[in-house]
Amino acid sequence: MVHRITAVAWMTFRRLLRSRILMAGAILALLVMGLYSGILIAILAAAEEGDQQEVQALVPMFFHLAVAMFGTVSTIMATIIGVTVLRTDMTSGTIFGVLAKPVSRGEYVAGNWLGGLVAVLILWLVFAVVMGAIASGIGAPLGSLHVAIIASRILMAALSLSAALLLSIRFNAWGAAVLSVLLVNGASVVEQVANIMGALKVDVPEKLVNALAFPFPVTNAFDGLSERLMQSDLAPDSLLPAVAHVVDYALVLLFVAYLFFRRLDLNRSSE
Amino acid sequence: MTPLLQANGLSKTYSARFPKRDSFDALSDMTFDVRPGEIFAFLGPNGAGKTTTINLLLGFLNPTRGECRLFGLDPRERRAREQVGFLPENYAFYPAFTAPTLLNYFGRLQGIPAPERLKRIDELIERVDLTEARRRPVGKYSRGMRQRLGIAQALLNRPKLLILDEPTSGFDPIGRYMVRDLLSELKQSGVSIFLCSHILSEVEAICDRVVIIDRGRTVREGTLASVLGTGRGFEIVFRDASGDVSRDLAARGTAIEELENNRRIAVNDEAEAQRLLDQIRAGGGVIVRYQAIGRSLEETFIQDIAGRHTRAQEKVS
Ligand SMILES: Nc1ncnc2c1ncn2[C@@H]1O[C@H](COP(=O)(O)OP(=O)(O)O)[C@@H](O)[C@H]1O
Ligand SMILES: [Mg+2]
Repeated sequence: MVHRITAVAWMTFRRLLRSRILMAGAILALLVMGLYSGILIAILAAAEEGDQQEVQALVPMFFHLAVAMFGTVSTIMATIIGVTVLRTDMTSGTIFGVLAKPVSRGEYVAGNWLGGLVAVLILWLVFAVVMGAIASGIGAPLGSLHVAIIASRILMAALSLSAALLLSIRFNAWGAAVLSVLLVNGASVVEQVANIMGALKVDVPEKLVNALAFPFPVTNAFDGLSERLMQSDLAPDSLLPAVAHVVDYALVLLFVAYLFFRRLDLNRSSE
Repeated sequence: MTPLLQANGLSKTYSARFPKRDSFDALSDMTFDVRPGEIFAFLGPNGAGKTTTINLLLGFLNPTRGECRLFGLDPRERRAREQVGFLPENYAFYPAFTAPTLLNYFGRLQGIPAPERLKRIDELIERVDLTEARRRPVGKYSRGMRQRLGIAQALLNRPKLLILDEPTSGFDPIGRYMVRDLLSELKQSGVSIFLCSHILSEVEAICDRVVIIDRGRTVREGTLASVLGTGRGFEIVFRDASGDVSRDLAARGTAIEELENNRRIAVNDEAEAQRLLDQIRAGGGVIVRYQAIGRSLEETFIQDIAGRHTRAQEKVS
């Protein structure tokens, strides 16, 4: 089973490499890193000899900024990958050649997911290496907290990948992308809307907000994790449950995708 | 012997989803089996339901009613497809990759160990004549080349059963000859073949059993001989240097066809044929050939299908 999943994953990854999706992601990543290091270098250049200490103190803030930007990029990437891998295979008809082989639908879905995840991981790996190099260069190397923050973002990307893959089985790429962003960030959206209403002096009962956010437990799980990391809380007994939650949702969504796909009638829809 | 492939009352209704709740019976109550070592031809005009049947047999679709078995298993089970080679209609490959890369992928999915896999890939690329093109991405292939790669991937695992959907489509005459040659060779080595086609002259030369379908229903089935048997006749080819016999026979109303050096008479009745043979010999003619002739598969096919369609039209009007 494992060797078939890895074979599908490897092929999925190679397909992504050839497509423009990863290229676009890499360019966005470079932009983010260019921006980040540009700002750092500018500050360093402007600083007086004696101010080096203060500049180094700024590094964590810039790190958070860069991670947040890159996190958004990687989540978008994961969503695009998720809504395309399986879907293009179905619409182009290449799926028939693959599933005629002794491969189960479950192995096929898992392989697609894994291949997409590897692509996202590689983007993050490049990001981490470059950021690490810059940070060390100015004498403020990244620590385990930074690694944990990056890891949490990768989890988030994995979650988006699952959601997008699941929705792409039923909806076309655009529909699936929009719905998947909503599914993953629904609670944040509700919260933002409530905040705006609050600012406009419209009273929204908290019960209503909670009820509206209820169908999107995924956001809460991730927010919990982010909050811990922001407070530099690396204690395993508070971090692990939060991590488990995010992983849970990623796997549940992936499993639901499998359930949907398991007995799906495969038609050639390009006809 | 247990059949490799079985369809039992297999039916498929395509139903459109919201907003239009149309449904369409693409296949109704299809029953047949494919036994070890035979070439089984599954014939029908475009839209008859051949591809639908194959998609059910490989587990891509779920039957609305009835069931099918592949090596005795539900085709939706992974293991049922272990000994199958499949060539889809208009095979689609990932266009950016080369033939060896794609074959290697399929070989890995089939669990063929690496050294054997690579050897087999080289062998097959050679066999389907793609050696020159092996470094080119498949997206740049012609239709015939893609089809040949499709055949190569179907043979990768040395299947016991080959399922081919319109294998000669996209081929020039030489390519078609290659396919026929290959199929005969495979049959010799004991491979069973489920061959779907609407090009009958090719099928006729190699198949053992035939099912003809139209609009999702079986129209005719049986061994090739039994399908062709109905409506058979006899052919007499003779030489008649003086032309006396021919004149004599023509005067009595026998239709005589002029061939290059000989003449030919075709009759339906065997007794009549025997009588004519006597007359030709008695008149000094020389019998060159005397044989039973069947209709071609194509004639049978056209008669069956066209017959059904006119009957259907009559019902409507
Ligand atoms: N996904 C589908 N939805 C609705 N009708 C379909 C679908 N696929 C095939 N059909 C219809 O089913 C019939 C049989 O199609 P098919 O099996 O492809 O025929 P064949 O392979 O014999 O040419 C055709 O009339 C076709 O239009
Ligand atoms: Mg067809």
